[in-house]
Parts: sequence; C-alpha cells; structure tokens
Amino acid sequence: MSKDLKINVHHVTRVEGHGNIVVDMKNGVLKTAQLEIVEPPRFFEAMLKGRNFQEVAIITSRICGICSLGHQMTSLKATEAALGLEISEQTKILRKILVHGATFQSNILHALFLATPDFLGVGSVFPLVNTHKDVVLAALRLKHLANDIGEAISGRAVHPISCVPGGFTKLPTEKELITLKDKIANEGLPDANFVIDVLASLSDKIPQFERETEYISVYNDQEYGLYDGVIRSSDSGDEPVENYLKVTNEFVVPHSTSKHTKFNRSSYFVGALARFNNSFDLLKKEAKEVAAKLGLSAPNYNPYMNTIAQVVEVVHCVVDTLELIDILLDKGIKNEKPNQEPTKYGRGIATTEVPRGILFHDYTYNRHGSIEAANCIIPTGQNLANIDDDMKKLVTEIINESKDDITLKLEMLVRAYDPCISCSVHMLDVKFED
Amino acid sequence: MFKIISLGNELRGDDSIGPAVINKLQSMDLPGSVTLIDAGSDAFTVLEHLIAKDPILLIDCAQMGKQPGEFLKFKIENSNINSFEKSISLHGFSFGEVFKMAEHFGQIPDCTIIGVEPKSIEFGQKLSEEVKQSLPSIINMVIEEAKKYGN
Repeated sequence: MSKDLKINVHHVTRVEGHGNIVVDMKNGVLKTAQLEIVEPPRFFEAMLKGRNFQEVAIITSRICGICSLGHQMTSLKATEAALGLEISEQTKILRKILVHGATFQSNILHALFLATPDFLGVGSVFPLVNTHKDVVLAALRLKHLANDIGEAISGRAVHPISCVPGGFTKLPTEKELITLKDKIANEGLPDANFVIDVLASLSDKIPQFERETEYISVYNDQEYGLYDGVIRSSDSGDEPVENYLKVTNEFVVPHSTSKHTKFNRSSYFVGALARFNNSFDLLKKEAKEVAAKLGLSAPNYNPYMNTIAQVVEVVHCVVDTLELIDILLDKGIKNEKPNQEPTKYGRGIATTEVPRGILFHDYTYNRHGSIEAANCIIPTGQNLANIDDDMKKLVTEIINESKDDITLKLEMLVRAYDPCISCSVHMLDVKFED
Repeated sequence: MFKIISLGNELRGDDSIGPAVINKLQSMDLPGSVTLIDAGSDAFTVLEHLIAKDPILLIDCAQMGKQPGEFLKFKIENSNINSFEKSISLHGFSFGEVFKMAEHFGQIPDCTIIGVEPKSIEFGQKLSEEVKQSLPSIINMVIEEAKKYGN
C-alpha cells in the first residue's frame, strides 16, 4: 500500500529533556523514523579533570538530578578500582540498600506519573490525581520512603554525603535500621502492592508490539544484577566491565547530539526489561509473582513492557532491602572507617545498573590522586539506536492506523524507555502580569 | 514548622544559589522552628511538601528579566499558578505542573519563593560575582521570613 505520512513531535512530553520524534514516509516507503536529540552536550568529563579522588563522586552525583545515586555509586567504584581501595562487606550491603531505594523510587515515579496517563488515555497526570488519588499518594509515600532510606543509611535524603571512596564516614545505628525495616515492611510493601494492583488492572492497555533485540545489563550470578557484576549481552554472553568499550562502540549520527551505541546488532536495549530478561531467575520470589500477575515473562521483546519490568523491580528492591537490613542486624554494625589509603594510581572502570540501564564510569588518576581522564557512558545514550530501530518497525506495522494513534504510540514508545535526555536542570521562567 | 527548600544543581553556575543559601543557613542559628531541605533538582520532593500543611519558602534561580543577582520575593497562590507554566522541566514536570498537581490534592500551603536572576547556568561554572554579592541580602530576607513563620 502506498501511503504518505509525516510526523514531527517537537519536544516529547513526560520525559526528561528535549527530544523530537520525526517520521517521514513517502509512497509507502519509510524514509525516516527517528528520535532527534537536540540538546547541547554537557562535557562532564572535562569537569572532572584535575579533581581529587575525594571530590569526584560528589561532582558526578550532580550530573543528573534523576540518577544522582547511580552516578555516585559508579563513580565511587571506579575510583576504588583505580586506586586499589578495598571495601568491606558491610559497605557493599549499605550501598546495595541505597541502590535499591533509588531504583524503586525512580521506577515507581516513572510507571505511575509518566507512563500511566497513557494507559488511561489521559494526557497528563492531573486526571489521575482526581481519579486515583489514593494510588498517587501511595507512590509519593514510596518516594518518601526511598528518601528515608537515604537519610538512615547515608545521612541525607538527596545527594548522600557520608558515602565516600572506601566506605562510609557515618554509619546507621541498629535502632535506625530497625525503624527503617519496620517502615518498609509495614508501609512500603503494602503501598507497593497497592500501586501494582492498580497497574495490573491497566496492563491490557499496553500496546502489543515485539521486536527482539540485544539486551545488555549488569549480571551477577549471586543476585539480581544492580549494584555490581559483569556485562551480560543476551546475544554473546558475558564480558568483564573492563571491556565496556568493546560493548558500547559509541558512534555519531547526524540527528542526535548524544552518541549512539551498538554491539552485536545495529542497536541494543538497556534498562529494566534488559535486566529482567537477563536476570529473571535471580529476582525475589515475590517479584516473580508480581511479574506473573502483570503478564510479564522472560524473555519479553515488547519495549512497552519496560514499564512493567520497572514495577516488578520495585517489589524486588523492597523485599531485598528487608533481607539486607536483616543481614546487617544479624552481624551487627561494625564501626569501620573508610579505607582512603590508595595502593596504586591508574585506571579504574566500574558499572552499576541505574534505573534507566547500565552505566559506565572510567577514570584515570595521576600519582597525586587527581583525575587525568574520564569517560561516562549513560544508559539513555545506549538506548537511542534501539528506539530508532523500534520506531522503524512499529511505524510500518501500524501504518494503517490514524496519524494521531501512530503519533501517540510513538510517544508512548519513547516514554517507555524512561529516557533522561538532559541532565537535570531547572530554572523558573516567570512572567509577571502588570 | 517552617520549611526552607532549595532547588538547584550545584554544578550549574547560578543555578546553585539555592543550595548555596541552604549551606550557609546550616551554620547559623535560625529563629523558631525551621527545617532546611536541599531538594536538588527533584520536582517530586517539592510536591511532597506542597501537599503537606507547613508553610514553605523555596529558593531558586529564576529568569525574571531582571539584572543578574537581583532577587524577588513572591507568593505562589492558586490564582497565579499559571504564571509558572513555562518553567523548564524537571523530569518532564514543570513547576507549574507540580503546583497544579498539588492543587488537585487540595489547598496548597503558604508558599513563598525567592527567585534570583542568574547570569549563567552553564555546567562547570561557579556562582557569578553578581549573584554571590547578593547572597548576604538573600540570607537576610530568608531570616526575616523565618522570623515571620518559624514559630
């Protein structure tokens, strides 16, 4: 069938930053279907140059207001790898709890505030506040709970300060951990289940679309890969984190100021669905039950289901946080000081799963403990080529639908990836009435 | 309880005025019952406080068509929420949207904003001289507000 179609969505809403959807089909031949990224690059790496190892994580945590904690963790691990700083088991557990808090906070906010309005067929979250006030309040309580975790474990709800290279400068007390555990068990878990029940009732609103691609995530055979592990590709297996450049292969395209990446295919997927597909067996039992309830099984090739995978992870993170707190309480909190005596200087590479996918930091330190070179590869950049490939297949499959419906499905597709296009900036733009 | 909330990214020049004010206040004796909150760039943290009852003072940089370093105090009320519609996004949410969402929950608490006109919000910059010079006067204004509300 020959058909002409032109779509130009300037500035997709409900995503972080500015991206435009452009589709051009002429006589049934698809010429363009892509997500344009027009934001100027931010040159974070240049900002890190010359910085001392004790400052680096503080700076990187402010790269992005949304993935702050993930950047901080990856930064700390890269610095520790470069300087040969061993960390204790207690430090690892405390960090895993922080990562869980940040993950369930971001996942629940995306699923409910940014994605759900599409499932309900409403243009924004405002109608949701009226029709689903209880569930919005439950999501906000979960968000607050993640802040409580940050405050109990690392002294501050936003931008933790006690989490430093080599360990923690301040440790939670056992009493604080017990209070936190009670709150998670008695409020967090019921709230998560309540939100999930509402989302389950909407799962038939998720567009049916499949495109198998390469799924790349952190993998750890001891636990669901979030805090640390190797790089797993669903196509070619595992690579040590030191080989990340072999996996990411960044390249420049004319329609994006952010570089694209590819590994074994023309594109790959990172994020909750990649983690779910690669590490399903390692999810907590309760999370697997939620996946079944929400109609998600591994492997799943529908990118729209990324939102559902995020919800499954909420339960995993909440349940695992309770178990990790129990381990800390059983062992008792040891009064450890951070290990900040470098045993070497050189290059360190680290990876962590942040809510939007696998993140890499790569630092080279000189003999004075200052950064000489740095490289950060963020998840959204890694997803851009995959979004373009999805769009091309999707548009040809739904070409007979109305232009409005095609446009909506394309916007929903972009939102499903939960992209963080810009690093967070905010500024009021106020116009006073005379 | 009076909540003083800063918004801003410490890496972005004058966008860091909010956190700079909070940092300064942390080392001072403040009148009455006051809580200091650095919300970073998180719209949802603001929302959380906008659906509570305690009065709020937000400190942020704001493009108001003034000279860099000039600052203004203004009230957010249900009647002027639309003035804030064109704000730059926070995770896809503008200030206007956050305030409107709060409004859907009911009456928003007494909310004052101190907006500070920036010179530059480029990444990797420090506070501009113009904004830095205004810092003591902004702190004084915050303390006056704390005296008014923090009892």
